[in-house]
Amino acid sequence: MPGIKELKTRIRSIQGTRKVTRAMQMVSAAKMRKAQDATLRSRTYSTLAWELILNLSATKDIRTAFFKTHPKAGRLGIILLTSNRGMVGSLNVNLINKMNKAAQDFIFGKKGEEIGQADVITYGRKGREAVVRSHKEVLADYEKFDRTISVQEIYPLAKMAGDLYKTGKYQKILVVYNHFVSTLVQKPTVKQILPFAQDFVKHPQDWRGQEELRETREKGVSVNGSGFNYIFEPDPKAVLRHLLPRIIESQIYQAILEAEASEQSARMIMMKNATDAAGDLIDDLTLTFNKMRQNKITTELAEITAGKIALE
Amino acid sequence: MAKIHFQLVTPERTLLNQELDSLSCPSKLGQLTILPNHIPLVANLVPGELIARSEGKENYVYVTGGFIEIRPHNQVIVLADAAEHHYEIDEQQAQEALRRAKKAMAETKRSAEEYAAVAASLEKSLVRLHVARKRAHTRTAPITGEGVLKE
Repeated sequence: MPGIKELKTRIRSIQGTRKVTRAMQMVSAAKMRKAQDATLRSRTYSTLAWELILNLSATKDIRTAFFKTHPKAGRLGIILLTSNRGMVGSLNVNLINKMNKAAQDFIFGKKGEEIGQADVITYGRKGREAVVRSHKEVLADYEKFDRTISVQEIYPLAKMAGDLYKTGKYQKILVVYNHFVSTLVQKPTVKQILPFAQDFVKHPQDWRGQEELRETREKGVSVNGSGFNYIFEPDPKAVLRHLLPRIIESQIYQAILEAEASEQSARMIMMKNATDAAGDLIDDLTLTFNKMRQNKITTELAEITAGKIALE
Repeated sequence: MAKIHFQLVTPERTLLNQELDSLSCPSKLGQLTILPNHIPLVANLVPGELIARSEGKENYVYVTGGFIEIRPHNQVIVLADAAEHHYEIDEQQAQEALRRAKKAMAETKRSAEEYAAVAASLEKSLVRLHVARKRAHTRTAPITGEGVLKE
């Protein structure tokens, strides 16, 4: 049992911690609102762009590098979007586990023998550290800025993803990020961005939740794989040359915004929990402190009374 | 009469989401006007002015390029790289941007890629200013990218 003095010091120290966590909660709450707004605003664009790609992938006779599949290629490209700093609870850990699982599934195939290799492009410090620890190949590390970025800032990353795929050594390029569902819920997500091939349409659950698929279907997107027989103006090649990189960019950009919103939300919640826990602890300790003080007073009084009685 | 369900979105926001009678947009092959019941189409957009017409009213929007997708059942979607309503453009700022772009053009010695980037930014500034002036109903002669680049 600590003494009354130690208890007092502890209460003070916890009060200090609570001040810090409360301040951090306020900061991330402000950042969270911004990040959430940005994410929700740009969702329309990225959803529409993705639907366009689904429609196009169903259209026959499109021959460009991004639609071509490399089923024999032995490499898997992963773009891992994490936070720079911790204090986000299990957000990064869950995400990295998810990524490792996806990588394992690819590397060991269905028969359990090693058939491939996974290379990672990291974005965010936590992800880089984890990948280095697990001895995977880091192809590149893009520095993450702790603010809402503009779409131009991810051009190099998107270009690299496209170029990697064009080399033909990669079977798939995945983006692994935390999908922002709500302030309380963030879902670790693996999304295939390349190739834009038919099997997207056949196995949509690989790239998105069933719920979103249903939504897409209702909107009249041709999920059955027949396509709309688009006319291209001026011609398919010219349109697709501009369109496809832009779509990769928009998908990566959206994933980064989702990751940012998830990070800030998770941090806000963590800090709120810490602040609340500190409050509980302080209440507990204060109660103990008061009891001990009262005990001490009672004891002192008893002693004084006893002394007085002894003198009479 | 059938109407067009039109959406104009940029990565940053949704500018328009409404029913239209017709729509004109600057495509790579020239101004493209879309009426209801158009067949499915995908086209590139160039910097220019997008006009959305609905019940006699016209909405002018400046777009810096992007794509238009026409789906069956009169669904029209414009995915713009960036876009502004004509009343949102600050004319002074637009002129400033134009001046900067012209200055950059005047500098000699640059690679083909840089030239293309500078020329594109000049074209964008010009078109943006042109759209901004619609607000004052002082229609200037159409400025095309080609003509400017030859100067």
